[in-house]
Amino acid sequence: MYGLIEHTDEINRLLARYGVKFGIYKNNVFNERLFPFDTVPRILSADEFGFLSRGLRQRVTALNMFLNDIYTAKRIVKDKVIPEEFVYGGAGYMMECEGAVPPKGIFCHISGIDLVQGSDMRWYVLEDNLRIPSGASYPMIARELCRRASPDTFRANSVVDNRNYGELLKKVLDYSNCGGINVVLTPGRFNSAFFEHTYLAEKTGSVFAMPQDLFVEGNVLYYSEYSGRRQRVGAVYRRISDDFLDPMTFRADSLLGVPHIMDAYRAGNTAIVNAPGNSVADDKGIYYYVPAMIKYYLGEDAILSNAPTYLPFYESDRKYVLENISRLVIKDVAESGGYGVVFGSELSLEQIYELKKLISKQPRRFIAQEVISFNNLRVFENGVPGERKADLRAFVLMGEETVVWQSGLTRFAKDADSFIVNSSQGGGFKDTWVLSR
Amino acid sequence: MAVLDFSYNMSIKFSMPVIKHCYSLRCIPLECENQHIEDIKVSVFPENVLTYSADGFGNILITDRIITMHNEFGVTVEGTVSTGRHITPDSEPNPVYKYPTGYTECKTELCRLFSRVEPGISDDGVDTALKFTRAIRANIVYQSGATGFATTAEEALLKGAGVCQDYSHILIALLRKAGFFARYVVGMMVGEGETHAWVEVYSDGCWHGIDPTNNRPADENYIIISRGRDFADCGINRGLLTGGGNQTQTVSLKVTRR
Repeated sequence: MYGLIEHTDEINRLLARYGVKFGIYKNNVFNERLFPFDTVPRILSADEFGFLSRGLRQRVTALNMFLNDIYTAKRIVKDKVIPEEFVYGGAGYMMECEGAVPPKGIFCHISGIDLVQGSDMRWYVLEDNLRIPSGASYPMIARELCRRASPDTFRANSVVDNRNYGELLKKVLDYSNCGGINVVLTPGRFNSAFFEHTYLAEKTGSVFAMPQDLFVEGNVLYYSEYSGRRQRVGAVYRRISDDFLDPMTFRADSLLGVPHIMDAYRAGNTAIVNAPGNSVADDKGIYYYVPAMIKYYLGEDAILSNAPTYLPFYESDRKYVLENISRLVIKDVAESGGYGVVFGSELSLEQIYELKKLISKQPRRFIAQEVISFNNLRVFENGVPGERKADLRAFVLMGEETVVWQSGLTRFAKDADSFIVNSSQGGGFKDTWVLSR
Repeated sequence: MAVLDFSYNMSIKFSMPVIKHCYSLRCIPLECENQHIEDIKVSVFPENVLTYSADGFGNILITDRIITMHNEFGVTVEGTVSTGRHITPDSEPNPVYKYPTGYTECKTELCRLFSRVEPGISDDGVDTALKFTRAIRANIVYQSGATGFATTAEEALLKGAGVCQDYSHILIALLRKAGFFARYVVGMMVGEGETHAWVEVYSDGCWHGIDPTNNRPADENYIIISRGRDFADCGINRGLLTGGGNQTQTVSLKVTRR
């Protein structure tokens, strides 16, 4: 592994040259930032990965069943396992998707489940990202470069090859495809993950498309070539959020979308990957109910734990949260990407007073979690060893089978004392090695 | 029971040619309990194949795109519908109809009105809706042009004037605040003029049509076109244009009872 550390600068230079960047919007200004790579990988043994894999497949299977249920029969709400207002009172449920069952019943083709390992070595799920989870390309390309920089490292350690992500993703697209080509749809180069869109199109052998390259006629989605020839599209791996996906159905002011794509989807003529409407399942409020969801749909106990979470919506939880606010993390359910996260310990007395007032007034808007004592990971900063909080984004792919990619994106915090590891908040990444034994 | 003949035409003239035009039209009567389409003829102009689609509310849409240059766009729907009582059984109403939307959120004025009529609330949705309707009519007058497409229930009440869209939004806001499921209906009624809007309230396992603007239950003189949470879900014409300049829209509607 030390063979890798000495190549840190070189690999980062190559990443920069390949355009492995992360875009951030702050105050409406777009900035591109390099995503610093730390060569020391996170290492998961075969046993540990096997455990995570079982837990993740179980979790995503239940979430997918939840989505099928919510947009059709709504059994879980009628049976009062999840309170109605958590589904319909928030912004996550999309009436536009009511009754629309995706091809093969798959909503969550690609899920990015964020986990952390506590100092007790237990894994906790922090977040389910079921809309457009990004980040798989970073460990893919970093692995490629690491193998080139230090082939001996990979000869000496039995690391499972992670370069099959493109094939796995292609299988998912092919399985849902309703007849026609596969397309990766990007909103354009000012998207924070533009690099990844081009990379995944190449790795899956899909056609790379901008919104203006696609059109719908007679409820069928087409890709128009330069020559004017049209090709039918059977599956779209879209990297555009639901809001902007179809100006005829969602935001009318969207210039990034494909008009009538929802009509083609409803008619069963194209798969949209991930399916529209998934926001109802990865809401931070719904997160609380995932273990109950697993029990309800699968009759099994959840293999993976949630971080200890409280819902101020329930009176007993609210009381606990208000009394212990200074040692909890408070999250606004409407925000994502590390925004809207507040650590009680960092607030002044006035801020605590204001937050308590807000929680009492809008209890449905917040969740509170115990601060998990992380198992820190070793990083090298300019050759000097240090420690950082880190999480793991595992990628779960649902096609004919549900599989967990034998790698993942390990993100670490920018500073030694920071808890927030989202790439939009600064920080860097590591490769994730899964050992074959 | 009644048999109604209807004819609806909507056309838009553009001051500059439209090069590309995507449209979604919600202007066909629904086939539902107590409302059956006996005969229907639909055409769009410039002439195009008719592509049908649906939305999450079960409404029918005519959608597609026109890529030949045009200065005018229109749709004509004509036919015959047999109608009856506006009482529709529904064993599983969607809970979204219980929650406020942008148009139907109760702020200060609506809360004030609500608290005044609160003593009149019973478990009977129809009775409550009629009581609310009386209170609404005591607080706003019908005045065409007083409000616009974007006017919310709260704003219309504050203004003290409005049209069927506003009466319906206010009634929906009050009904939802009282815990009832309520939905917005766009349709036609016997006579000439424009399309109309009213409300359906859920009570005793059925949706009941109530027309707050005319202070009466919807009956066999009403034809349902679409339903939704509020006005935004029931747009008759949604379009996306390249070109076009200024637009002038004309609507003609005639419904006669046989």
